[in-house]
Amino acid sequence: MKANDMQIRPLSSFYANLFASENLGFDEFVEYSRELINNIIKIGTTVPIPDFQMERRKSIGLPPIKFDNEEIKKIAKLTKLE
Amino acid sequence: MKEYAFFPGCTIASRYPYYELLVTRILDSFGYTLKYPQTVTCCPEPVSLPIINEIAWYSIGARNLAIVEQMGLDLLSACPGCTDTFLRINNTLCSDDSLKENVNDLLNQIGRSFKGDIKTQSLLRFLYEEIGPEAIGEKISRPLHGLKAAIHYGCHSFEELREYDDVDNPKSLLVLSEVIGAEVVSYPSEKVCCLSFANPIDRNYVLDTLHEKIQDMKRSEANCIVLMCPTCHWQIDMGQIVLEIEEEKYGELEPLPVFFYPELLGLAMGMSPSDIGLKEHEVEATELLESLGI
Repeated sequence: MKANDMQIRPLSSFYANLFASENLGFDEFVEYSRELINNIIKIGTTVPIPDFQMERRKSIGLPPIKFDNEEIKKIAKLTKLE
Repeated sequence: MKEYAFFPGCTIASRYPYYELLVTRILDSFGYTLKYPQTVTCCPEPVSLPIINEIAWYSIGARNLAIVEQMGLDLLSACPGCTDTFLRINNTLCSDDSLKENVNDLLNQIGRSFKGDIKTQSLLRFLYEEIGPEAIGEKISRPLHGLKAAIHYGCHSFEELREYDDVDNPKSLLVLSEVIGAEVVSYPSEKVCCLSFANPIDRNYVLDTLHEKIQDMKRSEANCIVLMCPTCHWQIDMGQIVLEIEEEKYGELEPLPVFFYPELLGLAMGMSPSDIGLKEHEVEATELLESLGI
């Protein structure tokens, strides 16, 4: 799949153009993106927050942060993201 | 105290909790209270998801906005990537009734509804417009004279910069850096992307580009890098460590400390390096700060 083959809205096309102009591997990008997207569906974030960081947040007085993926799973089904 | 809903984003929450705390403390000192939404998810990330499944991107983003709308507060976003996502989604849905209806049809099935009635802004815009350089200047007890900052705005800032700054020659972070006593240096590759998204695709290209960018900064006599984006921070901070490891290819590199602007603001307001969370950085800033008497 080539970047320019896709229907991409103008605001997203910066990255598509960059891929095309610099001959970067768009297919590899899509494969990597799947990993990020699967994280969003499974845990609610692209970047998992390690337990030690959650403990650190608590120890320095930050409020707990709850990444809730239940509704995301439903959206993923409805939009065929899964 | 004026209240704002606060969205730290995945990257700050997972990698920079001390920076997140610093932001809340600094804004508190200016009379602002930050309230966290009860539940959030990734904004969602603005690069790959809109390419792969645009309606999912709009729906997940609109869901986050809908949660904040229920708080009855405007939204302050610490991550330019999240701000980019929220602004693009909000602006598009508010100007495309049919798309908004489709997204709300989806959201209604999970008990949510997007209205588009709150303002979203980045931390940079907030510091520049809401608080302002003058008010910031009044709180400076230790100007950072001797700091020569190379600014990296990062790609995701530009959507919002269009609204309040000059996207070709932005000055917001320049003005804010100068008000804390730093000298700002310009360099040829200022607008070159950090390429974090390309890490898994072409590592050599990423490192070559980063190396050239750092060399540009050093040729312009910068002694540090200033930015707002946590992904760019991670990329440029850790990236320089990787360049050091690959010395055989890139030569000896004295890495430049990479600061979030609020960290420098905290130092200029009299906070100590340990207060501002420099332990989360990979490139040491101790020598530079000692040269400034900190």
